[in-house]
Formats: sequence, C-alpha cells, structure tokens
Amino acid sequence: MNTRILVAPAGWEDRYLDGVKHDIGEFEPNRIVIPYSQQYRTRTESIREELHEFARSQGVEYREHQHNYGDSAKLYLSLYEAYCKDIEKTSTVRFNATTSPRDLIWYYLYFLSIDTIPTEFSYFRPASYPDTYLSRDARSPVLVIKRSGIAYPDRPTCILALAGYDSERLWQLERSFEPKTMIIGVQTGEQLDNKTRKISRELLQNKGVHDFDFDGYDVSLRAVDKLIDELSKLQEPHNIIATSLGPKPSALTLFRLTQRMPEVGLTYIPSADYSARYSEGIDFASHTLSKLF
Amino acid sequence: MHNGGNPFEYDAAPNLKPDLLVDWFIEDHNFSRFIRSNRNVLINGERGSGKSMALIYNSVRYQKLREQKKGERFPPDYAGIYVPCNTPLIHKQEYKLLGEVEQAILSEHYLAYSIGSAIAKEFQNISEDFTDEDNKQLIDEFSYLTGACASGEKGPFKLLQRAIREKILKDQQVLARGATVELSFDTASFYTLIFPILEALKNTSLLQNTHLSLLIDDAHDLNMHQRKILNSWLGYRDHSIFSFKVAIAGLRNYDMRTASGGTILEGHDYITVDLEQSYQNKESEFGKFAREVVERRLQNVGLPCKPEEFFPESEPFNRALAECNQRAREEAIAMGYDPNDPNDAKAIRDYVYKYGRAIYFRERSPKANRPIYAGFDTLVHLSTGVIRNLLDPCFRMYDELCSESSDTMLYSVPCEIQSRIIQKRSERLWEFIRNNLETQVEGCGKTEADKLRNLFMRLAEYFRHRLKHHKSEPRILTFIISQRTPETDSELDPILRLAHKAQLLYIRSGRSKDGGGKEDYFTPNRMLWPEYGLDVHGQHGRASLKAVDLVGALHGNSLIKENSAEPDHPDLFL
Repeated sequence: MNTRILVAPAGWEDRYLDGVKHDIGEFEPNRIVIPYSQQYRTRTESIREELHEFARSQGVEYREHQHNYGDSAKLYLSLYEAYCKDIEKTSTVRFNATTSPRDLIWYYLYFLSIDTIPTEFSYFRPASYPDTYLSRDARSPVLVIKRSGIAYPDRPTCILALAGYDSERLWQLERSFEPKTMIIGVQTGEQLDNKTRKISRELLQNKGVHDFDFDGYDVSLRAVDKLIDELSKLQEPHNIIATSLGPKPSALTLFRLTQRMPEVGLTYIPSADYSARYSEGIDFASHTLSKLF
Repeated sequence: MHNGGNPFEYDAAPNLKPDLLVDWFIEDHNFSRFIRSNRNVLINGERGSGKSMALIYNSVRYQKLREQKKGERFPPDYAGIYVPCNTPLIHKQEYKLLGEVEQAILSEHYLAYSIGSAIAKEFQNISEDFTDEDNKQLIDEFSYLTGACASGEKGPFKLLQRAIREKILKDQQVLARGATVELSFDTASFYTLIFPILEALKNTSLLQNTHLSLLIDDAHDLNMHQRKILNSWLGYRDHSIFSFKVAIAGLRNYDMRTASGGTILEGHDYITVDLEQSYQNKESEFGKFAREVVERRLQNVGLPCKPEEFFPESEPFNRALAECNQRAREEAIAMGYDPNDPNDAKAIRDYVYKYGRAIYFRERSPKANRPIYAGFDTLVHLSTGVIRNLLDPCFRMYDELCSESSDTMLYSVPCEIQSRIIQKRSERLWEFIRNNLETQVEGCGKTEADKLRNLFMRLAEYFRHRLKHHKSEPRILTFIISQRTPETDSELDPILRLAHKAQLLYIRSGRSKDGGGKEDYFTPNRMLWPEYGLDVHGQHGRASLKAVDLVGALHGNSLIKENSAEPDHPDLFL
C-alpha cells in the first residue's frame, strides 16, 4: 500500500497551522508526522493539539516526535530513528518546510533521498513580517552532517551564501570561516524592506567578494543551474561551503545543488532565540510546491 | 607617488599575496626567536594580532621566497610547516555520530592528514632543492606510508599530496554514504603518518641540520578530541626533530587536558608567547612594532615618509594642547614646585603629563564640535594594541584620500579625513553595540546583549566623568576588578568573555599593584571613545572598579560614585 505522509516540523506562526491544514486538504495524506523542538515545545503545544484534533476529524493518523534542536548530531540521530518508524519504503511524502529549521530540512530530505521516496516540498509565505527581530543569539555555524561536502585541507574556502533578508549573518560566516572568496546571492525584489543590498555592498568593499541577483523563492532547476554557473566562475579550486540565509525554499535549491555537486558542503547557523511573533498571516497565493524525487 | 593598491590592506594572512606578506612582515626579534626555537610554543593573541602572519612568514614556502627576494639563507636552521585549522575538513561533524573512542580516532585521522597535506604543500615548491638521492628515499618512504604507487610521479611531495587527496576524498565519500557512519577505512595518526614523514625529511641531506616546526594556526577551531590529541603531542618532549608552535585566540580559556586525561604544563611542555600586550606609549614594544608596520607599508608603495608625516596631527589641536600644557605647568609651579630644582622639574613634567591633555578635554565647551582625532600616535592608541585595529582606519583613510584626490601624488592624509574616518568607525562600533550584538556575536542572547550595552554605556560615562573630575589619574582608560566573589564572577565572567569575543574589550595580564603576582587588566576598545569625546591617548595606570559595581552596571546602574566631588555632565560632546 502506498502510504501518503505529510511531514511538517512544528511551528507557532499563523502560516504553519493554516499551511498544514491546506496541505492535508490538498495532499490527502494517510498520516501526518510532526517533529517538534524540545526547547519550544510549550510554544507549539496548543498548535500541535489543534492539529491533532484536526487530523482526527479528517481521519488522518497523527504522529509527533520531540527532538533536541539545539544539538545538530542529536537531532540527526533522533530524527533518523523516528524516520525509520514513520516512513515506509513505499510511501509518498510531502514535506512542509514552512517553519522548519534548515538543518532539519536537509536531514529529512537526505533520508528521503537515500530511500528514493517520491517527495514534494511545500512552503507557505506569511502575509507579513512584524517590525521586530526574527531571530537572535546566533551560535557558531555548523557543517551539516552528511551534507558537509568534500574538503581538502590544502584548498582555500569559498562561501556561497544565499543572503535573503537575514544578511547580518554574512558577517558571522565570514568571521567563522575566514573564506578567501565569498559569493553572495542577493535576494531580488524589494519585499519585506529588503536590506540585503545595503549590507552586501558593504561586504563588497572587501576583496574576494562577488555578488549576483538571486530569487530564493525560485525552486526551479534553473535556480540550481544558476548557482552552478556562479561556482564555475571560480578561478581556482576551493572548498565550497553553501548556506541559505533567506527565503526557506532556497534551502531546497541548495540541497539540489549538493545532489548535483556532492563536493559542496552545507552550513547552518543555529539561533537560540526565535521571535514568538516571527510572522503574521499566510499568503496562500504564493504557495511553493516542488517535486524532489 | 602612490603605486596603486592600498598599502594598509589587512585581509586574513592566508589570503594575502605571498610577495605582499614578505614585504610587509615586520620581524619582531623577541617573538621570532621563540618561533625559531626547538621548544613547543603556544602563541596567544586575539583576532588581528598577527599570529597567522607570523606563522606563515616562518613557513618553508615563505622562507624560500625570502631567499629569492632578500637573499636569506636556505635551508634555514628552522623550517616551518604551516597547518591551518580553520578548514572545512576540521569543522566536519560526522564524527559525532560515532562512539566516543571512534570519535577521537576519526578526529585524529583528519588532523593527521591535515598536517600531512601541509607538509606536502610546503615542500612541493622546494622539491628541486632536494638531491636525487633524497627524492628517491622520500618517494620510497611516502609510498610505503600511504600505499601510493610511485610510478610516473613528479617528485615525492606531489606523490604525498595526491595520495592524501585520494585518501581524504574516498574517506569523506564513505562517511557521506547512507544514514549512519562507520569507520570502515584505515585511519592515520600522528605516530603512524606524521612522525615517519618528519623523520624521513630529517634524514635528507637538505634538512639534516634543520629543525622542523609544525606551525598550527587557529588551534581553537579544533574539536574537543583534536585539542586533547594536540596537547598529547605537545607532551612529547624529544624535540630533536620537530616541535610545535601553536597559535590560539583565547589561551586563558583553552583546555590543556590531554587525550589520556593528563594536563600539559607551561615551562615543562611548552612556553607561552603572549601577543596580548597593552599599549601605552610609542616607546612600548607595540608602539615600535606599529611604527615599523606603517613605515614599511608606506615605503612599499613609494611613500618613503615617516608615519607621523603621512598621518599628521592637527595644528589647531596641538596649539590648544600646548596652551593647556603651559597652564598645567603654571598650576604645578603655583602649587610650589620649583622649575629650577631638578627634583621638582620631574614632578612638573609628570603633572603636565597627567593634566595637560585633561585640561584640554575638560574645558572644551559642551557646544563645541568634537575634538579633532588625528595623528599617527592617536591611531596607534585607538588600535588598543591590536595591529588589525590600526590598519583598519588607515586602510579607509587611504581609500578616501585616493577617491577625493585627483592627484597621483599622495603625501599625507589631511586631518579632516582622519578625524572623519575615526568618528565613523567609532559611531559604527556603538551602532554594533546598540543593534547587532544578538545577531552577530555567538552565544549572545537578548539578556547578555542588554547587559553588554549597559556595561559599555556605564563605562563610557564613568571614564568621561573621570576625565572631567578625577584628581590624580583623569585619563585612565583601563580598569581592574576588585573584591571579586564567586557570586559576582558568575555574573560578570560570561559577559566579559562575550565582550572579549566581540573585541569590545581586551583582557591582558599585568603585575598586580600590591605586588602579589599577576592580575587581569580590562581595556575597552579605544575606538569607542571618540563618540564620547574622550581622550583616546589614556595614561598609565588603571582604575579599580568593584566587582559588585560592575555587576550593577550590567543592570544599568551608574559606576560613578555619589560622593564624587563634582557632578557629571552626561551631555558633554554628545
């Protein structure tokens, strides 16, 4: 039997609950799987309860698993343990990444790719972002387990950063990895008071920084081609570390990039503090849905 | 005439062009003596203090370049092998999926191959200096160690480099496969890979009289297992073939435990070179070093002038300061010091040193523009003893000078440009404190950021109040912490560590005032003070602040004593 499974890492924003309900209606899963953060379990509790109730009303099996999001290795291991129980080899999966941390997205997509499970990637934009911080208390960037690329100790480092709106983190990446080269995909458009260009220009004053226009919402294969094209301009071999700091769908594009170029590693900057008012509302019209495997 | 390029480039040392690095590096004889010794040396210094540059300069590739450019002897008595640790290979996390013992094995494997790769890279460029017999022996040894086939290779180091690359590629591919991690391949260690390579090198006719130094850069980036393994290696006391020179940012918090649970000891296993030295005047070691750095860089772009000529002081400021010094002198004489008495003459000089500049800064009208910050000496004071902090404003001043001047002849940076850049950098640092701590300083949450903001605001007010009112040491910009308790430490230490990490605060060790050993001095980044109109030159000495008062400052309480003789003027210069 082909089980249809919706995986939707828990969030607390309006768009999470509305988006998951939308996916249930559209994808018609037999089961929904909700990984949730131990650190934010209280904040997501009522939403999970509501989702559980909604799933029951729709006749959909509901499963949820608590994970330690604060430790990348522990997250990987517990996520895989749960994955093995939840996902049958003959399943079809829709992964709702709307409010998921990027490392969790990459880990889950990696598990699904190993088993070549037919998978769709689903993402909902909010209606608006409030005028407050989105995340803070950033921790050291960590390389993503199993997606850390091929590194040679005698090569310089290149950072490929899809900057989006959270471009303050560029400084942190530069400070942590001290790359010889930085390639910055600057988010196109003026959405959400896009500050990226300003900061990017400042970074551009430094030698070894190149930028290019990039739409983080574009999940077509053309977006991957564009990244490969940019990387092909490197004058010498580098260890390439890529990261997505902007729109969540760009995490999918980077995952696809590592499928095409396994030598590229992914990195992720964890934050210890995400805003309780991260976003408001949901923009159904711009729903991103993309087939992976 | 300027010769293209900005002479104050301050990119990370590994990213600088080799020619520039060799041209710009200033040999500090004391420091270089340690690097060229056969002892294990830990080099402590914050970001930008020049650790990497010193290590790279002493590596074989650069020693060879120095032979070509400067005629230095090659092979030297001490050959350095530069091993960077801030690499994606070292940062990999897959080891965490293994059991404890295997974690250590995989960690050492990556570290050993990083060193092996560094050896191959260093000696690749000088393979022609080895005799045919040397090369044959090295090829034999490297083939045996790596299992690589020697046929068709272009020398032993190419063979070693290729063998290591192939091995590292395959191992990473194995680890990237599937959902779990298993150590299904042969692993290398220091004693199975690196030690035999170093022995083989030492047995060559080229290097038989050369001591090999493993120059480990950014050891703080190693994972927990690798640090312990490196510490164990440091405990190896036979230095007849090799020794380690290890650069660390933040040695005071570095774990000295070994893989076997022991601890390495200073004096026995290693000696320490501390680059975190305070700067107080141009006669100090850092003052001399800073002057040489700037002078050398100006010379290399065809500007053979003194740093003071290229970064001149403001004439109006100097005139006003001269008047204030004269007034201070008159005050001293009015107090009864006799200028004709040789003993009193020194007291008068001391009085002028203490109060001359203070009078200038005290008596400026609150409505006056901010002071002109200019002059090479001011730039050195603003650096707070960190060479990158000196080069940063110089770089920007030079850049602005070039963009404003159509003339290709650049003789000096006008005071207006200097002061403008300094003010901008100071504003930017405060902007960073106000808005970016939570997002840009690792481990800094909202609570910590609020405390840091409070602390630096209160310190700024405190130093400003001190400048205006203090009787004996008005220009002090360094403090020590008194009456510490476990309770105050538990609240203060994490915040001070974050401030240090953010390079807002420099922590150095100095002799205790009461003669009872050493104590920590805390110097806020002096680039903070132009925004507050303070005198960045500071003076010898340090303020003693009670730990409980500093804890209060974290929560927004003033550091200024209520029984202070005169009220503070918080709007001064703002």
